[in-house]
Amino acid sequence: MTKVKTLDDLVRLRDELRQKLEIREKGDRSEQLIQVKVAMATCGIASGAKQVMDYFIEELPKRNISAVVTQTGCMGYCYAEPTVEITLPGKEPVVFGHVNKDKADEIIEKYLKAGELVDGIIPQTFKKPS
Amino acid sequence: MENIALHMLDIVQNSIEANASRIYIEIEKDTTKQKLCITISDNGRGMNKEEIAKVLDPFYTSRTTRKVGMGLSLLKQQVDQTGGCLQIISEQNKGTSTKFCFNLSHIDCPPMGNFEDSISTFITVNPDIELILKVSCATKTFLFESKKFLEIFEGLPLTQSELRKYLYDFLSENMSWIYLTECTI
Ligand SMILES: Nc1ncnc2c1ncn2[C@@H]1O[C@H](COP(=O)(O)OP(=O)(O)O)[C@@H](O)[C@H]1O
Ligand SMILES: [Mg+2]
Repeated sequence: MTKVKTLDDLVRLRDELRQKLEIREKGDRSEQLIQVKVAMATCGIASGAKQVMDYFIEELPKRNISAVVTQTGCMGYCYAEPTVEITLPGKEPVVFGHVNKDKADEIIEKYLKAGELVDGIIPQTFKKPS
Repeated sequence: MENIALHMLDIVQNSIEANASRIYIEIEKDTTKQKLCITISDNGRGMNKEEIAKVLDPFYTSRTTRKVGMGLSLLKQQVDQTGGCLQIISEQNKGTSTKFCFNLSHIDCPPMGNFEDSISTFITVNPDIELILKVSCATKTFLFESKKFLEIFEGLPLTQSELRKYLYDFLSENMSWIYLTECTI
């Protein structure tokens, strides 16, 4: 592909994409999407949250899962970073701790695809220590 | 923190937590001094004088989730190690500007990391926050506005992964000279 360096190049790229993507379905409405929130405060970033977030961004479309990845601040589980909060449509949010790529893979395969719980869930009673 | 780009992301997170809707990032490299400075300015809630005075104290945070704030004190410790500096200017209800510099030739200076990577991830997961980026070194300058980029792709059913890739490629194409000692090939 040719270099994309200016806004004009981007417009050209967009027009090429538009043709290719015409057949693709528009995504689900956002309230039906799986929400994946990665904690990106200092302790999260320092323990690898950025790579975990990129992993979800890359893997979810590859595995045909409609989800939206966002970031949040400190959820108060510094001992368990990186932490990821996942909300399946119509369900309560679940927080997973010590998430690395392997754990993220397991979460996608078991929890996101099948609704099966996996190890590493942080019980809600541990929330917000004072 | 493993590298300077991750420190940048951490400081940007403070702006998000201050409810900023616009964030300006400036990355400046001085080739003579081999000094790299990053300024992050936001239009968030800002801080009053009392808060600014306390902000570098590792035991200060306005968060209620954990009693210890550590991003800024950790950064301060790291820049001090390389003879760099950290400066915070803030006005309540107006915004905050945090500037930090590293001496790249100092033996304790962390690697630069990958700015395009951090910034493209940030924009992908925070499309509603307007990000303005200015990168400069010697005679080169690159100016980027996330809003203009996102407007071009608006309405296309792109996945976050695709969007991130286009952002990353575009930024890399325009600012990769920042990693070169003299910023020239
Ligand atoms: N951009 C900003 N806008 C408003 N307040 C800020 C900003 N950056 C830092 N602060 C204040 O300084 C405190 C300490 O910041 P930091 O050292 O990063 O720790 P933490 O983010 O973990 O609280 C924050 O809790 C907040 O009150
Ligand atoms: Mg912080």
